[in-house]
Amino acid sequence: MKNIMTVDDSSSLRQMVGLVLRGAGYEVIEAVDGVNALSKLGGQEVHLFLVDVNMPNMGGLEFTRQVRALPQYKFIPIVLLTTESSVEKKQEGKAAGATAWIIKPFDPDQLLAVVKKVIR
Amino acid sequence: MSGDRGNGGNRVRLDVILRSREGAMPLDVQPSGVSTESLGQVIAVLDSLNHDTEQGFMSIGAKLADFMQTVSAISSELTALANAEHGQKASLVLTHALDRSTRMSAAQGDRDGGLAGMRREVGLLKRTLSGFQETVETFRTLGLLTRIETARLGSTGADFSDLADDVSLLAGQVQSKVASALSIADSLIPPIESAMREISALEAEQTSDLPALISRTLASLSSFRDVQDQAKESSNRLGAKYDAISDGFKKLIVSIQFHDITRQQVEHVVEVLQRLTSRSEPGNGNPARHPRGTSAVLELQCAQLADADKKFAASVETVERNLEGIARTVLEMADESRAISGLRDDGTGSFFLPMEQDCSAILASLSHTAKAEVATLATRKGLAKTIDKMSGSIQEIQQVETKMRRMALNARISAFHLGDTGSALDVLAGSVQQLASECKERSQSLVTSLHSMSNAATSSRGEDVQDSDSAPEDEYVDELRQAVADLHSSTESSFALISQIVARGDRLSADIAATRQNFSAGALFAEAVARAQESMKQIGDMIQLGAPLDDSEEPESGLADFMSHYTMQSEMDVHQGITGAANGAFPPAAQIGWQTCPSAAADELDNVEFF
Repeated sequence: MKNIMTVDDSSSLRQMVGLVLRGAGYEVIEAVDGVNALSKLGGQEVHLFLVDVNMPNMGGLEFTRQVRALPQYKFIPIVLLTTESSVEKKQEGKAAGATAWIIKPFDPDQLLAVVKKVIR
Repeated sequence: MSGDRGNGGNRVRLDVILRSREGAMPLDVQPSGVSTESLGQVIAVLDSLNHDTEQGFMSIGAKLADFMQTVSAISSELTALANAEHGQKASLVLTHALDRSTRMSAAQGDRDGGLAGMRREVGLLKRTLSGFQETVETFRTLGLLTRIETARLGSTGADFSDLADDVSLLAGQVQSKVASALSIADSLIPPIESAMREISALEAEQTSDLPALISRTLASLSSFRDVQDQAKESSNRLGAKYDAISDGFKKLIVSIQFHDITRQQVEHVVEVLQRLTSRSEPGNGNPARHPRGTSAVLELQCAQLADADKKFAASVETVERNLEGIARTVLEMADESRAISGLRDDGTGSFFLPMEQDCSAILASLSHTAKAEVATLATRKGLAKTIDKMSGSIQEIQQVETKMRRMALNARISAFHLGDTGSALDVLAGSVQQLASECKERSQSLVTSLHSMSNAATSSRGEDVQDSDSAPEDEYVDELRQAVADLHSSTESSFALISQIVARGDRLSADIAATRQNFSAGALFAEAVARAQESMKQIGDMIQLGAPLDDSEEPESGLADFMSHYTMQSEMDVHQGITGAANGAFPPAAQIGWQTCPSAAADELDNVEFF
């Protein structure tokens, strides 16, 4: 079973994404922000990160940069979920090392299609 | 983020807040003084609404998780029913049982006829064997006469003295074998009679009970097949409903995202207002001094909330509609499930129970038949062995007959050589020869009878047992018993599945109704947002009319600072619309909005970009 870590400060969004992913047979690890997510990693196997861009304490872009600095997670796909669609922000995400960018609101099938495409 | 307050309680509290303000100025804005307190009230209401609605989201999410698990479980159960594995198995079992039953009933007549034929053959056998007694006496007499004639002839008839001895000896042997065969024939009758009595009793019982059972089971089987057909049709309809529920669920998730985005937007407005009030310091008994540009900030936040109420209300309405659709479909699923099983509302009345009872009764009847079959088979096996023994005796008699005929032929040749002197002996030898021929015919008749009996003893055992020493009907009943046990098991399983579908469907519907009830806070949210907007506008207007300003703050730099805090493109768009508009005019509502989420049928990568 593949493990997916969802990082979002919105508990309801986190819950819904978890619902969709668990329904599709994935194991879901939830974190409320970047700091919380890094503390939960602890070397455990993660196959994909789904990360909100704007979060308190540590946002998705900084989290992406820090994850890419960790050898174990250097090549794990990171998909950023956000309501932002500006080109600049996307470029920031790409530069940080994100794999894909999904603009909310998204259809559950869309999310799963992206997950299946990027997960290893 | 929200705390642990119950959603229902919050809804009531919100309702009280809103109703208390009906007919009054929005919130507690007093004309005499625009205060931090007024903004604080706006913040409190919006913040409270945010907490409440997030609780609503979480509640919806939890219910959804349960819904989808249940729907998924129901779907699996329906798939099993649609495949009708249990039904097919039960149907096969019943068909098999009926087939066996029919064959067993038909075989009873054959068995009965076969035993009666055997009894007749045994009678014939005994009469034939009794006929040998006379023949033996004649042989003895012929032996005595031969001895007398030989003595009369003296040395001339010396060659015939052996003939007399041999005839007497062979007559003794025939007598012994016939006695043995008669004894065996006598022992054949009792087991045949016993087997016939058992079969007659069995036949009487089955004539009265089994046809009715078979008839009922055939009717049950027919009903079962009808139900299977119905189940397949229902399954197709339920499959469509499941798809509808899945679609509803997906739409619900999108709606809830819109709902959540609005909630976050309000959260950001609350944060801005909190920052604003922290900068507005009240003087000693004087109205608060607001940073320069407070009015513009309030105007901007009003703009940020523009359409939020409508979008929020629309998303709530969509969520409710989706939930209602799901609830309706789930109830339809439960009804379909009831129809499949023929269950009444109290969970009884399924056709499964009487069908299983009939099957058990048939099993009992067939089991009885099988026992009789086993007993009859044992009898027949015993008869077959006895017949084999008797055949051995007859073969020995036939060997004696052959010897006699050969011996008589030799005697006649010798008598012929003696001429007239040997004519009497020739007559005697001829008589022995004729008698031996009659014996041959009689023993041939015995062989024919034994062959018929042997056939009767083995043919009704059936093809299953020809090369087996085991009791085949025991295995047959075991097979039936296993089949009925399987039917019982599958029936219970079907009951459990159907009951689950009905129970879960009803519970699901009740859960959805409860969730919808809690979700009515969405309407209050829209109302509260509208009132908050109105209040902010009034506060802003009053500030412009003369409230003291703090000249130390530069409004433009403060507004620009907001840009770094937006998390949504729509917020930035609103901000740019406001700060770029002349005289603080609000941008048209149509300009404020999110991009829509593409439908599942649309290009799935419309709002996705891979790096």
